[in-house]
Amino acid sequence: MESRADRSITTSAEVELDDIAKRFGATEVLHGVSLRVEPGQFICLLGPSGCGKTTLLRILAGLAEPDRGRVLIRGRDVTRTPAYARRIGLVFQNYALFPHMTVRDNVAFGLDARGIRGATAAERIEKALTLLQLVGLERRYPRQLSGGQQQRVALARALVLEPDVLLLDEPLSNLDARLRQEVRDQIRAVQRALGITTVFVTHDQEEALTLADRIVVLRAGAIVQSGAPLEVYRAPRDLFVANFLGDANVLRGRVRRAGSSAVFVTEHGLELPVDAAASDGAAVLIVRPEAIVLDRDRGAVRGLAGSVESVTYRGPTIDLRVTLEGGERLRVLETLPGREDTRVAQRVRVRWSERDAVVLPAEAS
Amino acid sequence: MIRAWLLLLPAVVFLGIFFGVPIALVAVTSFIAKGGGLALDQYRRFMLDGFYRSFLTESILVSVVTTAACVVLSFPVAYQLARARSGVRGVFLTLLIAPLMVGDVVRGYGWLVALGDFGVVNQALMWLGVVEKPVRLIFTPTGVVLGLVEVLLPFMVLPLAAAIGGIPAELEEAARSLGARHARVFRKVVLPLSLPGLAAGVVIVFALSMGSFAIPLFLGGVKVNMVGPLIFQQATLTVDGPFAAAVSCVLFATSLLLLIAYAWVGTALRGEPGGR
Repeated sequence: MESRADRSITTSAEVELDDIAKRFGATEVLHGVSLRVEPGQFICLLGPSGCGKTTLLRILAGLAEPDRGRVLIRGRDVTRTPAYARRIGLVFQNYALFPHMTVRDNVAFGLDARGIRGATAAERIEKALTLLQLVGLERRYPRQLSGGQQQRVALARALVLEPDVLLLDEPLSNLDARLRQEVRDQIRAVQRALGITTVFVTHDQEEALTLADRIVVLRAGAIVQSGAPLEVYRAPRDLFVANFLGDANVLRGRVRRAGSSAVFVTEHGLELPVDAAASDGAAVLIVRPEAIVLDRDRGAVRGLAGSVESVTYRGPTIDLRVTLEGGERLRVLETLPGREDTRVAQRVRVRWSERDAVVLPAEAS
Repeated sequence: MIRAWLLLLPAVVFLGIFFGVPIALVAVTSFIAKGGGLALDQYRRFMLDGFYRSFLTESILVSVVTTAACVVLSFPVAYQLARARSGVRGVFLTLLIAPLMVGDVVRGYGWLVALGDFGVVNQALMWLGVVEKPVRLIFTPTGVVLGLVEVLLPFMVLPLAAAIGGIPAELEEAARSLGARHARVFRKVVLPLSLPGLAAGVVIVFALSMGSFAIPLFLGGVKVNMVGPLIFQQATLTVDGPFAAAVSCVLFATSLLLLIAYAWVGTALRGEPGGR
């Protein structure tokens, strides 16, 4: 991790959003969002629909104007620069390919608009088509292509211009599951190969976790948390982030400090030792389903006693619901094989490592 | 499948009786020779007599200019109409269609008053000092074109707006993000994708203009020769049925040719894999 001071000396951010606000009619959809994207970084704007992530992307692209704040690309203030004069590559959810042009003409469009023609253009088009494995499809029209191919054309069309920033607006959501993974990996590979700074908008946590160098979680027009995928996943700042990035077991109760240690007392009176840094008062304890260890040994004494309520096999994993003696219900995710003999109503004990539990003050929920 | 076709029957029967039969009658009448019997006399007279032929050429000229003016004027209107928010679009549409509620006789008279030597337009021009004497507007082709453009504009705007409405706004945004300024976005994206609507508008406006009657009568008088008033004059004043029928058939054939051309262009556009 480089320090903040280092960054400000060595580089200006590739993309910088400074206090961006935007309202549509009576509703403010962005309330002063600030964001820095470092050169070559792949960041995901993650949030539910209506959180303002697409609006933020449109402001970056120059397709919408912010009411307040500044947009800087490579240190240049482009807040009032129209889209055509920004050096950005934009990929839409519906690809937005020109239906009356062939693959090649689609890819050539931006070059032509910038006055790049002839041999130089042909060379760059060839390069882009090769990079995205579109060679042989040059003369096809968009409607003659599969969804995955269309998305690759959209990427080629944007990348052929060698933009400063690549912006992608939910580019995978119109593809079926198998194709989605394929195109996802392709986007990541191309991004790495070119080292292009990328902003990717999605509502899919798995996409964000697998693609991003940094995840920026948005909610109701503001950034809730920003950080490396694992960091955001393991240490969510609030319940919203915890629930939005994967599944979370949430226990309500309060933290009681005793000397140098602290315990979390659930509503049903169970006492769980927690990280000593937790402060007194009403709190929630969050633990991921896969962080819970299930002990099936009859003689086991460690952990919380409970019984299995339901068992669902999901191929590589097994998904269990466990009811604790206090009445709390937990979801547990275990990896197969070796767990196939779990039965409903089986007596078990559950435990987890203290560092896998996140304790948040109740108001953060 | 057959039942669905049966539903078309009433309309087909109606059109057959009230459109097909009269057309056939007119067609037959047009071949009646002076002394009886069938011949191409009427057509020969219309096409070979310079005076009568001028009605056809002048009609075509006025219609071409009218159609061209409608295309140029319609694009911005149709674009705004197609891209407006739905509430605004409603108001817009009402304003566009409202003039159609007033027949073109009323509007023809209105234009006559406005464009006359001492009409509003000339008064204004003289007051502004643009001209010293009144400009001749009525009974000129310019006057007729003015009137026709006003009457026919909605028939160009509506199909064009429908076509533009079918172009996702994202395509324009994509074009802009790729470095295209407005003119290029229009030329490379909006224009080619709205061609089917444009073609439909051209056919409708040209055909309506060729067959127009009230506007040429009011604004052209006896100075502008157009086919519509000629047919009326031959059929009711001169009572030359066969000749009126022949002119009608020429007019009908012109429109039909245009329609065939449109269908052909339409298939060509669709035949190309990118056409929509």
